[in-house]
Amino acid sequence: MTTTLNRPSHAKESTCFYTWMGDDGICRTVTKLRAEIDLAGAIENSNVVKSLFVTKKFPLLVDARHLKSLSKEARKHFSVNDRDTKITCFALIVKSPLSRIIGNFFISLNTTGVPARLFDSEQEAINWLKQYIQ
Amino acid sequence: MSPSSNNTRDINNAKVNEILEVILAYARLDFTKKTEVIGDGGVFDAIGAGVNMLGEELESSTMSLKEKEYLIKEIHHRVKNNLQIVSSLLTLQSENIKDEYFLELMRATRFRITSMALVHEMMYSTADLARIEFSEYIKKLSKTILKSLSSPGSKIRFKYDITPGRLFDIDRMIPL
Repeated sequence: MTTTLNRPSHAKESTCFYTWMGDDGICRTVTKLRAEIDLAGAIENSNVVKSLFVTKKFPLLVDARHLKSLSKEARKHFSVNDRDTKITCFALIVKSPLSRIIGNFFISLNTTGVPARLFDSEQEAINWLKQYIQ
Repeated sequence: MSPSSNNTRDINNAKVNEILEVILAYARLDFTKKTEVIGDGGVFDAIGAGVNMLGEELESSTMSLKEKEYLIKEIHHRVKNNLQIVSSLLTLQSENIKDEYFLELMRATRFRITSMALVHEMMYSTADLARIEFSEYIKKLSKTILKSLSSPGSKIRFKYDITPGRLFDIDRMIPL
């Protein structure tokens, strides 16, 4: 079993994710174990992420290591095109062959509205995201 | 070979067959099938998920291709209708013309427009939207001209000597 981000008690729970704002100004969202994300789940997640906005836009760290599936509609939604967003960029952490395939498929076939990259290390992802903190 | 490795091999073969079946269905443009992803994060799951996502992308591309095909047919249909309207207007206008030379000119123009309309009609009524069969076009065109020009009881018959199977695109067909 792969590891996942340490989730604080104040993390907001939605159907497929746990989401919270880190002290470093980077928002974290972690997929639940074997999450199957459809459009409704994607919209719910982006609404939770948006609710964490106060005055400045922020980078988003997505831990997709336990993801089971991501529908086409959800992929399109997460590409952050033609919709209001409060994120400046997002990093996707993948590990297992399954999450790597989904992550690569998503990043390669969708032109994202904000910078986006795949990582297999949490620290590398955070280092990259830091440059987008406003 | 131990029973457990036999069992693993059977499971792997079953998964390969399942994925293969879905790939073949997508090749037939049947997008109703999906591979089962159990979520163990393994390689078969990863390949299965990749095939499923590929199917979703192919399905949407196929749908937009069909939409484009429909739009092209609709454009040819509208062009044909507009050309027929122009042809009818020329016919109406010709009724006021007494000059034989000018009348002939109008008639020739009308036939040219009718033949162009015929090309567009054939373009939207054939399966291949890009090209039409030359012999078919000539037969239809000659029938249209005969219908317009011949007097009742006319015994004019056409004899065609055209190699069948010659396909031309619209740019070549209209000047012909």
